[in-house]
Amino acid sequence: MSASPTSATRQTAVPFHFLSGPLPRYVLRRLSQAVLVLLLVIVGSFFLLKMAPGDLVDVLAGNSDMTAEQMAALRTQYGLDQPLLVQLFLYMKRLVTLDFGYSPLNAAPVLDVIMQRWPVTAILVASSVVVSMTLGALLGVVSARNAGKPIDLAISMVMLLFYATPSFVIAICFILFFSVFLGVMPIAGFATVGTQATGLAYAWDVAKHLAMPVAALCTFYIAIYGRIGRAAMLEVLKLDYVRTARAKGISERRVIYVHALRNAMLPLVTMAGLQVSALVGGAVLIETIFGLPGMGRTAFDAVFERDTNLLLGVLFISSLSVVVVNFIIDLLYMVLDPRVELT
Amino acid sequence: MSLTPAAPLLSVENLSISYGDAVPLVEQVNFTVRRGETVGLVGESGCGKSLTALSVMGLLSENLRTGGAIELEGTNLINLDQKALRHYRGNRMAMIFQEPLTALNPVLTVGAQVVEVLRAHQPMSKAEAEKRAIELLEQVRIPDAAERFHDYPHRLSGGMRQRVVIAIAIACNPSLLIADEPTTALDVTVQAQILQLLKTLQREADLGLLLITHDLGVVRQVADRIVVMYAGAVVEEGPVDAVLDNPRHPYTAGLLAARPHGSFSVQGHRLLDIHGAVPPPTARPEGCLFQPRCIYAQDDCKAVRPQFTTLEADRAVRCFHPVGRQD
Amino acid sequence: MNSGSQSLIARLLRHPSGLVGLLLLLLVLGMALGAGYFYPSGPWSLSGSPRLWPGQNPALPLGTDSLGRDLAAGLFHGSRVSLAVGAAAAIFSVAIGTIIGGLSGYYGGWIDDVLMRLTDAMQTIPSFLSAIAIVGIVGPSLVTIIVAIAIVSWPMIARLVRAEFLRLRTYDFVQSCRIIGMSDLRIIFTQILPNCLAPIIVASSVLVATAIIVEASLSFLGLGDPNAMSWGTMLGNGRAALRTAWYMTAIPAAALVLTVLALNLLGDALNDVLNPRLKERS
Repeated sequence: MSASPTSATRQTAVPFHFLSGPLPRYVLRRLSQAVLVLLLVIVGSFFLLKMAPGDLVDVLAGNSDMTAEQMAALRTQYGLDQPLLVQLFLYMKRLVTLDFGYSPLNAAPVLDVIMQRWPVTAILVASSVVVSMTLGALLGVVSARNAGKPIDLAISMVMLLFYATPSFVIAICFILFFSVFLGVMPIAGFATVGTQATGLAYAWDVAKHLAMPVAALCTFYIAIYGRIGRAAMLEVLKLDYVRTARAKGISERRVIYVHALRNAMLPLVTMAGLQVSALVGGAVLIETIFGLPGMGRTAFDAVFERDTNLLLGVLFISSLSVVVVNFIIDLLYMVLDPRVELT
Repeated sequence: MSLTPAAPLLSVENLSISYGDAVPLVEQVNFTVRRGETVGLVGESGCGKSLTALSVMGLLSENLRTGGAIELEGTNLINLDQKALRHYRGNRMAMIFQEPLTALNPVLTVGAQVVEVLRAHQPMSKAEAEKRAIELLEQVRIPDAAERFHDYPHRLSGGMRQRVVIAIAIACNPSLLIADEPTTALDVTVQAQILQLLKTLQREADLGLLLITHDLGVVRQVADRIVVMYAGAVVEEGPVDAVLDNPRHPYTAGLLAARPHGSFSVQGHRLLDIHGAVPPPTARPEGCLFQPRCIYAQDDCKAVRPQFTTLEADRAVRCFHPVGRQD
Repeated sequence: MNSGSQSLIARLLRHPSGLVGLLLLLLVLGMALGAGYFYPSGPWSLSGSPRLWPGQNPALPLGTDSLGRDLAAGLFHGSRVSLAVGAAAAIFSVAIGTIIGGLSGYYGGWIDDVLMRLTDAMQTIPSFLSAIAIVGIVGPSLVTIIVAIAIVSWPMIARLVRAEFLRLRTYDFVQSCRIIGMSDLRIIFTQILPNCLAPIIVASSVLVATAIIVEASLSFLGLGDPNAMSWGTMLGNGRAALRTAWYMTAIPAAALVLTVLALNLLGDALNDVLNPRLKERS
């Protein structure tokens, strides 16, 4: 690679000028945060491996029948005869190159397994964020506009119940009611087994299969968003610009949904960052209950088959995904609130 | 419209606003605004000026009740539901608020907020509305209007934001403009510019302007007539110069005296201040509302509430014992 | 202090959600304490024919599971696990969170920077997944579960305590303690910490509820302590028989939801009672 002389001189004239604008500084800050998260995951994973019965090679060997010599060779190869810090460094080097090792359970490299599974979890989590935020915001609007009236009370009662019911309990209730009693919803899977459907028909099939998992994953957050949304709406409806909007003679619906709600949504979007992380964790339960072939289900299987490489790989990629999603949410927030500048 | 020239643009008759049944906030308020005329509505904070203005716009909160009549160009607005009122709001009448910093929606561009009111009342395409919005921003003397159109409110100064609010208000060529303390939150130099702008716009469009303020200097400078409110009622009304030069209600006289530079002598007494405070709506006195604070109060003032009575052709006062000269 | 805590209880009893929450929680506490007395043979003993529906046998009012174990016994003994794990995990995470948040808020500067970055990072990592990894790799036991929950849930407390410390350290009484040369540790423990107990207590009730849910979730997945009968274990066992005997799932589920509900109600009430200024704002 050869840089043109002009750009080279410009760079020497103002060292690190590319770090000085608001956008690069922001990206740099985000990147450092991401690095810290991954570092934490790596160090945590490393010590977990050290605490686990047997060492890395035992884990790697898994159920396969390796000879003692092969294992000794592997120990040398992975530097397990080295001091702890060197081992940690070697482990780190492997993980940052996305080398999670081999999954005996799936007889495939861990990365391949995860790449194959993560779209399911991504669809599940993304739908849950969208659904819970939309419903939570709407419930917040309705209860704020009827504050103190029976409907507000009724909503807050339901929210209280949603807030106290763990997602897996909701999931079981749904299965019991919709699949066992009514028999209208498919009980498990991502799509009907052996379906030949394509296009819209396939999408409809998947949507039917995902409806209950998404709903179960959502309820807790509908309650949270509803609470935050109600408070935010009450706050915003008192503000001057809502009165200005009313004074324009526009419809009340426009006042509420264009002027007030857009501002009241801001705290909900902030919340979404934390939600994504929790949803990825919650997906373990939901995917297991509904038999969805996502990362959560993979983690569950990995635990029970003692496939530690796979388990830690899922943890690493999940954390990485959350970092990326949080970055996107930050950008979204900036679009929604023009007052926020990059810092 | 078959309005005779003399018929007022806005006529408020016997307006009352109350909280529930028990607490009257505004009582027996009467005044008119004619086309091309500026009426200054003055009084201390808490006297009901802003409530009166909001009730004209139909923007009072739902827990307040209104009575009496508010007629705009011959239509009684008080009987209209919110849906019908929307046709008048922003269209036939518009309002400018006190706090330009918070009056605009922070997450929408300035242009979008002007376009919104245009398209709410006029059949315009998006492009037409945008073009018109830029013209309006130019009309309120915003420099580089076409660029400011795309700015969010937080990028503009308080004075510029108040200009945007004014642009929104005049967008649909209303006949009545209500300005609630439009310059109070602004720097002195900007105040003068905004007042000048309002005055110019009013002359160009022959607007009726209801200017709410506690600043008698602003009233003297801008208004044609003045309406003085005290504790939820109108106590004096008349041409600005006549009222300010020769106040007939003791409260008006006291207000003038309380001005930083204005000491004012009435009948040999020097009024420096009005003692006490405006009574809260829950504890309004018997008889004349001003009687507990009035140094001229007599027994009849404490017993009966005085009626709003016409003194001369264009002056009226709510007082048994008016002060000042009888012209 | 004694009169203060008495009046706190009295104020909680006057608060509708405080009253309901406290009563429900006392019920669960009673179940936990009385488990050994009412069901001395423990939750694992076979006490009747399997799959008895509630009410079929008056001696076994809540019925039996697929193996013939008394569901009521499981419910009573399970409450011990839930409360113990909830309380222990909450205590641990409050301890960690208070230390980290306190250091961060009191000293500020680079210490604050480092610790808050760490807290941020911890909140980014999916906590339930970390808990599964810890319990799955180290091996399921009550201690592991408690430690795992504490490790993943301290960041919330740390943020809270930091905010309180930041607020309190500027106050005059703290400043004057500095001026008279009181040591940092004494200032923290005698001046600042007692003043931020209220929000910590409120947050703890939510923390206990969350810990109970996490324990139940782990047990439901089969990652619970194999020697402890927990509501989550019962839920997991019941799930296999969902089609034919849904009561096996419904009974522990109801217990779980009511306990969490009680803690949330109590948390709301504590918030109102301890932080009157917050109530005004909402």
